[in-house]
Amino acid sequence: MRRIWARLKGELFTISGLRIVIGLIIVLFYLLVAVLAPALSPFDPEKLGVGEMLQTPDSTYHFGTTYLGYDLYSRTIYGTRTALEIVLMATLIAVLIGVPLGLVSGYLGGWLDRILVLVMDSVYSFPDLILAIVIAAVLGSGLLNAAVAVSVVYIPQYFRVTRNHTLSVREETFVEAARALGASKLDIIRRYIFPNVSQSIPVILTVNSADAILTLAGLSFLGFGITPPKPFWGLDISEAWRYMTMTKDYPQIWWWTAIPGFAIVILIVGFTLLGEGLNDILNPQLRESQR
Amino acid sequence: MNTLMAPGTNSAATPDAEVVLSIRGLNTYYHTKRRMVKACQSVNLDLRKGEVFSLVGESACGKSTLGMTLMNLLPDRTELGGEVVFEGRNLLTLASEELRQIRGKKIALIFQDPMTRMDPLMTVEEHFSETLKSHEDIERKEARRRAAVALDAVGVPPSRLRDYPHQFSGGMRQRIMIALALVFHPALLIADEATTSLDVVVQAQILRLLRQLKDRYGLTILNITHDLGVVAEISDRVAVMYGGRVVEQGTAEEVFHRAAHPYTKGLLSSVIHMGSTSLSWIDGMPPDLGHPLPGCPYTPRCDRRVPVCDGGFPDERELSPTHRFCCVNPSGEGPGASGGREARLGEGRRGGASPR
Amino acid sequence: MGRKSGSLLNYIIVRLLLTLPMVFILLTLVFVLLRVAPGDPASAMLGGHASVQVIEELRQQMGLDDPILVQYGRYLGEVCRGDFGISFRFKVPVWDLIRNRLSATLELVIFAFIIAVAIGLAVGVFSANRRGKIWDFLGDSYGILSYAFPIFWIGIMAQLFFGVYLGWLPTSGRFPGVIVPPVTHTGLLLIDSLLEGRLDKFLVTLKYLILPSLILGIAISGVFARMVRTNMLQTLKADYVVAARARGVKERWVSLRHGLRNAMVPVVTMLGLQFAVLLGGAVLTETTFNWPGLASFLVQRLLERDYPSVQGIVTVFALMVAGVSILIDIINALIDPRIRY
Repeated sequence: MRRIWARLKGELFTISGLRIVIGLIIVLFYLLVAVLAPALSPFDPEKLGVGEMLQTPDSTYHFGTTYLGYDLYSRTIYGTRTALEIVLMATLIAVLIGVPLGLVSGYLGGWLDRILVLVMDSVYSFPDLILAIVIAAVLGSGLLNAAVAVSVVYIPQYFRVTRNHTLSVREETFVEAARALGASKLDIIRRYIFPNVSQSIPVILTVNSADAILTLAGLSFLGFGITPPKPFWGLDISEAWRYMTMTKDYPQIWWWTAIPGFAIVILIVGFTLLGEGLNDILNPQLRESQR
Repeated sequence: MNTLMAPGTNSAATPDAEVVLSIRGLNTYYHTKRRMVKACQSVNLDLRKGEVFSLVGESACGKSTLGMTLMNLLPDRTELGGEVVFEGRNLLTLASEELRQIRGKKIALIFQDPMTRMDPLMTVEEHFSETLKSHEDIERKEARRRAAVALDAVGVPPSRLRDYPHQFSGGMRQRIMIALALVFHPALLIADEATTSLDVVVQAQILRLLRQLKDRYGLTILNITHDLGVVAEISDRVAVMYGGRVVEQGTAEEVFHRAAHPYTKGLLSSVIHMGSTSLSWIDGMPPDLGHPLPGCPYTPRCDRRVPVCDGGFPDERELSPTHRFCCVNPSGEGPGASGGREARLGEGRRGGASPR
Repeated sequence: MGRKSGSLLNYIIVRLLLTLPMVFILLTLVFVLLRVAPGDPASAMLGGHASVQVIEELRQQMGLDDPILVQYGRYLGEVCRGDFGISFRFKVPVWDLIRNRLSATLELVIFAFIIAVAIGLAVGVFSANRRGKIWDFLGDSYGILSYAFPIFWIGIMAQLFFGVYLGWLPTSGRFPGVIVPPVTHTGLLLIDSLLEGRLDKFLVTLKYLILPSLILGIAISGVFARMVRTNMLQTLKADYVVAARARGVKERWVSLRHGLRNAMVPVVTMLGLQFAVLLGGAVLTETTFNWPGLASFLVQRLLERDYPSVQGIVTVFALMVAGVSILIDIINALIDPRIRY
């Protein structure tokens, strides 16, 4: 971690540094909103009929209301909570399964490795969203189920990255030395390989989070995982859309679709910028050299 | 490693032969994010028609940069100064399209590693036709014919025109590169470490080939290398570079037998001869061109240094109309040893220079 | 000395063989997933009020009481024969349901893919040639934004703008109900209408196709554009590029023939992976635009717990993905003469 910090300080004013800063600001902002949600939102997001149906944005209902009288402003704010909670859970699950498997598979090799790689590659090559909705449908609705559905999609990525890195670290001389000194396999993995490999995880983490939000939005839009009245942006857009196609009452209620959409976009951009900035700094060989 | 042949056995160009390329006061500075690297400073050279001119030096002395500068193949943030006069025009100030027309047609360049210098996705024939069509408006058939002729001249069977680079051996690839370079019969060929990555046998073949082609087409060759054996074998004239500067130049005979600059002497004496019982080398490391010294760049490693050396780069002195060097205390004159350290084989390092 | 390039046919065969395990694993995954699903398929099929006996009979008939391994073996056998079972909801063979909708998805996906490649190449090459300048930054931003905007959201916005506000394009469906669709030869309406010689039908089809495929194509193009740019920047620094310039090769040829072509090798591989993303995006696009394709069908079948249909559709998708991956490998081998067995 210290290495990362040192490099960050040196690069703060380059484009990569700028990306990290902007990305970090966005993500932290959302985090702040999520934490302070109860204080920030004037109404209960899940409460029906706090206002008139489909009111345009005004001073009381900053983002207007939906068909069922939900306050969009409160729902959007609480949406950050849902989003970040699920992404956190999903990432945690994916990391807890993918990284150890990658370490073990990479270090031990053999038939275990080959089978795991085959399975992971197959899952990885399958469309993310389709896998997620099938799993979500099978598990039923609920925050944890949605998180599991999303996590399964990302386990192969953590597995691959960890495994690749493990393969290269495994050949280093200090690992060989540890082996010669009689360290057990578990020890070697834990004390030598993992600390080295773990530095590639932060980048994957941020990029995956961006993708996870996208997947989650898609899931909820289609009606899987997160169901009403839970506040989440994808769900809001989906309800707005269903209402629109039914009633053709389009232009007046533009805010109902537009605002949650922006909430999604900005968060994804934040994570992506953060991830790319980190990637530029931590993997300078991939960066185009600026002579 | 080849033993040093007696230089001067080549067909030497006469000193009055026409000058093909003239370099005056050339500076090449790279601008990196943190500093400016002075790769070449105040280089003065003349290349005469029909001669083989070798540019020698250690790695990172600026010689490869010089070759790339002549054709302006340098990355964007490079500062160029001075002039390079070819056919009456200064190449450094030419518009890019004019320069492009000269490249490959009037001046050609061959590189060190032929494998990476060829596009793996294109056949040999395609390499030729794109070069030919970039300069002249010719038909495919005509391009193929000229490619076949060029390959034949370098000893590659024309039947292999449709093969891909990875299907050839290293020596063959270099021959193909030479054929590509000479397809328009340019006036000047710049060979940047062209034989460095080849084994000795192939190296000899390529050198012989270059000599034949030179005689046949009246070619001028600028041979950039660090291999003194190669220099001795084919050069008419030699220039020695150190720290981005030309420190000595003259005919091959003059430089090899009457070297004046301490660096040249050190370089020559570090060559191992058959039957030698002692090893000789120069202490120290090549200079950092990003932080050039105010005086002579060789000063830290020079046995003959005097206080004046730190002051400024020495002016040029002449030993003969063809032999020039830049040193205030050259070998054969004032105090100090004549460059290089020596040790007897099997005795371990003892240091102490011995006058030669 | 020279090596003979290996045979292309050999390469294809080996790649085919290597893809089989992957398909196998995906099929197994599908099987396991659907056995985990809560609820009993037989009672779901019969509705809520059938008697226990009838349910039991149906279960036996469907083989749901057999040991899991037997069911697995039967499933694999059925897949090989192309028999995906009977849909719970519609009581017809799943394959019939799939067949009708597969061509709709294919048409959408192929068209979107072409758009994505066109945009991606254009933006990628453009930015690579103008590195460091404003266009490069714009191209990069395009890459990030086109990825960040959710497909369904852009789709809805596009529907609102082009469909409702401007009234230029239809917002749902694939073909208007009032006109007779072209005779089915390929199932791809664009081609079928051309084969029939009916330009009017072609244009109508285009009107319906353009918006969803544009949205889907744009969503995919961003990642593609960035990949093209990154790889081109790398290839443009390659030794053979410098050597080509040294021979006075025209700059346009250097950039396109040497830079782009060599950059395409890793990019083509990535395109194969992007196909999976394309299928995922198709789910959202088809739903948003009411496109009668296989992907939106999957969503409906899932929501209605029609598991045989789901199984069949997912299997088809898995086979499509595997097929595309082999195709990509073959294309790669065609481009790059070094790849042979």
